[in-house]
Amino acid sequence: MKAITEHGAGDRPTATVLQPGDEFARELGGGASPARRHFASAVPSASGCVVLAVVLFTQLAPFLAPHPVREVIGAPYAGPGEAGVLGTDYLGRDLLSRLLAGGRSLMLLAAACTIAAGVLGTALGLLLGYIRGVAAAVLNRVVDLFLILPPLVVLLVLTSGSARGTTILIPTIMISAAPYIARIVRTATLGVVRSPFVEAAVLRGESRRAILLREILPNIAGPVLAITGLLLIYSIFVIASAGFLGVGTQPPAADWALMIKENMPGVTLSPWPVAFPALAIIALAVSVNIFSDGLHRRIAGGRAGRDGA
Amino acid sequence: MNPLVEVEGLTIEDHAGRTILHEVSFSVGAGEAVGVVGESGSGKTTTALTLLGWVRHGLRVVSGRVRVADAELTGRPEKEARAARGRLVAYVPQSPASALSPLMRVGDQITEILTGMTAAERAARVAETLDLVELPDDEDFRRKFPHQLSGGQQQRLCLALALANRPKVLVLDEPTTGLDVITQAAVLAHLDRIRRDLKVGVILVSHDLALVAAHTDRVVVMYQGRVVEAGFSRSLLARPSHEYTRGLVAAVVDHRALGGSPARAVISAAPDGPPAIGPVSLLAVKDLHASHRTKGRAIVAAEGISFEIRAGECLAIVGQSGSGKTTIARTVVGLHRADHGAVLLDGSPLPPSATARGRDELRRIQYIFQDPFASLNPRRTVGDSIRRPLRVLRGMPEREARAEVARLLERVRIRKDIAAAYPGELSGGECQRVAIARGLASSPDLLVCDEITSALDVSVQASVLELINELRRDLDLALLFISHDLGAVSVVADTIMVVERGRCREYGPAGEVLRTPQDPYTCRLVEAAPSLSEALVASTRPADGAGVAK
Repeated sequence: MKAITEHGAGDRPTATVLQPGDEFARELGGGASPARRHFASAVPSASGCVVLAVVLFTQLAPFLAPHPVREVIGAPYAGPGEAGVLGTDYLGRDLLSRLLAGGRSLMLLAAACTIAAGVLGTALGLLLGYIRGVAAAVLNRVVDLFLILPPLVVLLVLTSGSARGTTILIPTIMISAAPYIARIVRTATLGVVRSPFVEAAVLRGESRRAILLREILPNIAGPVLAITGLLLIYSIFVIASAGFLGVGTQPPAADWALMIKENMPGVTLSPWPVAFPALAIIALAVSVNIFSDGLHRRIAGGRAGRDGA
Repeated sequence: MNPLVEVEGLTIEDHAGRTILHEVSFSVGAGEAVGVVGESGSGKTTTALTLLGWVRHGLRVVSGRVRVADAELTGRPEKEARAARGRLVAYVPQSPASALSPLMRVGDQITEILTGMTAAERAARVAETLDLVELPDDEDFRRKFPHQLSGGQQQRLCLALALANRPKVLVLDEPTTGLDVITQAAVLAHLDRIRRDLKVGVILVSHDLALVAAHTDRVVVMYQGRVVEAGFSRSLLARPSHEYTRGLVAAVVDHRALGGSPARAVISAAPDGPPAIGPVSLLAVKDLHASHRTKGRAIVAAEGISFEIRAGECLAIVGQSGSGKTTIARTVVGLHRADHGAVLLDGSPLPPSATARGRDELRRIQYIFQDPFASLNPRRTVGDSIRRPLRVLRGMPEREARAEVARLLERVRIRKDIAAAYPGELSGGECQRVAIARGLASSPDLLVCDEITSALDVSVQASVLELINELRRDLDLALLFISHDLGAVSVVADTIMVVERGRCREYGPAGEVLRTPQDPYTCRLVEAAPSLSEALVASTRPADGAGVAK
């Protein structure tokens, strides 16, 4: 039986409760000096700025790019400064312009995949966590079956026909990622579904939909946000892999993964045409990860106080 | 000679400079028991922990000192303070289940903390210690895991762990909060005996005044980090001089003192005055059988339970933890499916599951949960939570519902502006009031209250009970009141049903059941329940359990 202490929740030495928001600061700065703590809490904000910058620059590519993406401006594999700001690619096209434009399709596609797979997975997970009985057991095993499908196999199967390019990526990611999300959301839901406040909703005759969306979903927002960040990175990874394998974006369009692939043959001549898009992908993935983590902690330790998740 | 424990002018601040303890001083002699009482947040646990040379993270000792058996404990490095723990001072925590390592056998738990002894000495000490707390010391028992013990045995094992190194001082932090009254009485009787036999000093932190009056020699009353009053337990609690202590004593609801308890004056009592109880049966439960199934095993929670609640009547179901009383309540509201039997509302049977019940059937029976925080959605504002049943069960338009929320909050006597707050910003008492307001929102005929006061402070408990009685009077509400607290029950109930292991042991008018119990089990329950008035009267008797344990 749990006794509620009204103010001194952390009275006993074993029960020193760490505020969720402090955790990150503690990890990095040991929680000691205010300056280090400040630095630690600034990291998620900084990565947020990186994400925002990448989004802005890539979306504004048509206005910012110094050259059209298909225009040849100099010799192939020119180094940074020799032709254009960042040099040229294997055909002598401006690397900066292609880099700016190449992120655009990736960002949009990754966002679309994340939303599609996230919504499907969350809805499935909520339902799996809430319903009971035979239907739940069967549905659970079906979802488990989908867990064993590797994304690239799904991708290659789906592209075995004539389908190519971006439209195939959304179903690929939905099929391969939604089961994982459903599992995580289901577990989080199971932790909340027995709460008295959910039972109170049942007792006032709320519909199942209202219980899932009004009562349960806000209380598992923390984990859902955290996996959304991971899902975005996962989408970027799958899209980039698809581009590299030649089943994603098709040349001559600019795309980071495609740029890495098409410039690979000359990587010994000039590493830059491969390095820049690769670095861009890494920077984006890492920033998204840190930012979504920070967001999760902020929400978990935020105004609504007690973290139900 | 100095007293065994000496706390002098102890002042503790947190990292923001707020005073947690202010100039706390008291002493404990050998073989003496001192109670530390106060509400949650009063600093009583912080005080108790300083005796172990421990200060919670984020707090620091500003001034003052703590000496145990002439050893200074404050301002010592952690390593030295740790050496004192176990040998000089030992600690018995509130929740034994979480204090014991679940993967260690009973014997190993005790052996682990014995250092500097030969194997034979250790084995002898383990047997001796188990014997001391009256646990069996055979090989079979020593090989058990904590989860195989009952709650009372677990707490006695914690006591054994604390005593293993024969400390001079025992610090007990709410040692019996999780136990039912009969077990509690037994554990405390052990404690009294051990204290006299071993001449240890005991510091008993508790919010339960009856328990403190019966089992301590002196008492320290704390309020907002200060000692407001200290003195001999019984005389102080019989004639408190500080205003706060007086309020605390007045708030105690006592099942022994029907009509005569000080709390009666505070809580405008119901059973003998209005509300008028109607002749018609509102809710009837007939031959109810219910059980829990885990891993193929069925645990019986209710067996042939029948009762009737008339309009405006309050029926209390009383029993120890695990007696099935909560399951009975959950079956009535439709959260638990009965194996057999019927629940009738106004003579017509209710569907067993809440999801199958109609809107009006749901509206008329409302349930209030034990844990006030968990029963409110932490991500919704208080106003939102109360508005929901208005919208769903009464189909009220949004604007009207807002006005009604304000009226309901006033009804349960909290500020209207609290509607915009989240549950996490409120205290336990406020949360429970909000939960009651939400229960009232659908204007029910029957309110099912499941242990609604057990998670609250004593003073808050009294005011919530007062509110319940006031609501009954004004709204002609019938109540199904589930509780293990005979004091609370004596204040609200018209009728009492005592259950043990799912069976009804006694069922009758409240006064009769509490004053002249017929069933032997009820007798034991009434006898074991801590009673302040009884403890104060018993001051002339020898100190062994002071009439609480026979």
